[in-house]
Amino acid sequence: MSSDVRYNSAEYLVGRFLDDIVRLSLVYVRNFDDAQDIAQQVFVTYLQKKPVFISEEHARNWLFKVAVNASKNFKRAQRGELSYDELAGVLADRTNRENEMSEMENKVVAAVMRLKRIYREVIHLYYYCGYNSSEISKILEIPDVSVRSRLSRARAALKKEMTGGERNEK
Amino acid sequence: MKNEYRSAMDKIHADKELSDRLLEMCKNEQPAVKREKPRSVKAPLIAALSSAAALALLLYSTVAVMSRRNARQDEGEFVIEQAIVSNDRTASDNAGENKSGDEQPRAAENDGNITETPDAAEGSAGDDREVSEKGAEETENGEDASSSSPSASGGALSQEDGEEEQPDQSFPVTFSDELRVVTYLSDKDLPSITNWYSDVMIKYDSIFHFEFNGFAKFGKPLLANNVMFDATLSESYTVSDLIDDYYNIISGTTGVAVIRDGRIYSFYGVAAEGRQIRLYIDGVEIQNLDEVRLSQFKDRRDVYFSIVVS
Repeated sequence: MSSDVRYNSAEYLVGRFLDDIVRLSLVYVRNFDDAQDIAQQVFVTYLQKKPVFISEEHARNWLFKVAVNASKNFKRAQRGELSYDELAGVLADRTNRENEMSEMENKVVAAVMRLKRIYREVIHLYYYCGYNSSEISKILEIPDVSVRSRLSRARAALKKEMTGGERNEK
Repeated sequence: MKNEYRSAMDKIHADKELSDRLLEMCKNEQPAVKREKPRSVKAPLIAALSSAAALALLLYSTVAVMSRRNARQDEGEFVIEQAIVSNDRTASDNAGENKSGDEQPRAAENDGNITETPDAAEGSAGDDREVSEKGAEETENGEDASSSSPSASGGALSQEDGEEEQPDQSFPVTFSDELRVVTYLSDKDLPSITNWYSDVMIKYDSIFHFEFNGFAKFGKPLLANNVMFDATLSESYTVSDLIDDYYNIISGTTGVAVIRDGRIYSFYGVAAEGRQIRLYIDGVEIQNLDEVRLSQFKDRRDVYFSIVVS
């Protein structure tokens, strides 16, 4: 019986999860502006539905699921995905010098962004968001075994990307 | 490699403009939940009830439970849909003796969870809703009903056997006629990772009225309790779950009642020898507790539970 209701406050959720949702959406749409639009849509959806969360994890999962669905439904024709180089340029404009990505970080993100969408999403959810395969299967609504096989293939593809193998762009 | 990825992603932030815009938008909206009621409030809570209709309903509930039940049985109009087997006559052995056409069903009975049987053309849904909207006026009718038929209490549900009149002070659930505020979330109903995404959570803000009969034989007499039920539970939470969890809800202590197939096998560690246990909700006997979702009553202000062990 928790008395903590922060996670049912829209303002708290924006402060806590906005960046995470932008990052997650970015993995899908590979366009920073579109990712922000999606994040905004996620919170509009939240305000419309006003679900009652029982924990911060519950809130996080709900928001992420909405973000994933919104990203998948996003009409890419509006602006189109950026190439990673373009995206990197956009991101660089938004970071100051102290926070600038290192060469290695750039290389890793570039490699991830070049993967197919189905691999990008599992990589991000697994390695960045910290979900396990079972949790990812719930978010993506795919079987657990598919998550694990995609993770395995994504790792292999990432390895190729990092070692200069053939590209696996979408 | 994953550290680099994490580190890189951490450096990506939403524009402050977007953040500010969303925060502004959120400020103009109501938060999803406003609560934090005191855990236990007695008389001051009653005084604090701002709605006159709510207060009247509360008084009505403590005074006229039996007569209301009888009134409903007399009219024979209401059944709970689906899994609930309607058996008004079994709800009260004496019901048939007290027919009073003047009595009105209380307002709370007329929400979407209760439907009229086909022969209930009189007092149809439209009429009932109208009555429901009258609030305090409806309550006055109920009080009149109680005063006009003080002997209208149903036999099976009455406290005439005196068992409930002898509270065992060592037992935590002995208070009576108190309005307790319970903010409750069943541990076992916490959604697991597997249903976080699919489970619909239902918010309750109701007064549950519990009444017991026959528990003294276990050395645990229970008095009637009124519970301000402030809970968020999954849509799949059943009445059976509620009865199982009752002791946690009311007493704040863990108690165990083993109930299967309408029979109670253990009560707070006391063997109950498979005695039959009956539950009535608003006077209607509920037979398939596992199939009746509590969400049926989510919009009700007052719900009356009577639990009888034979």
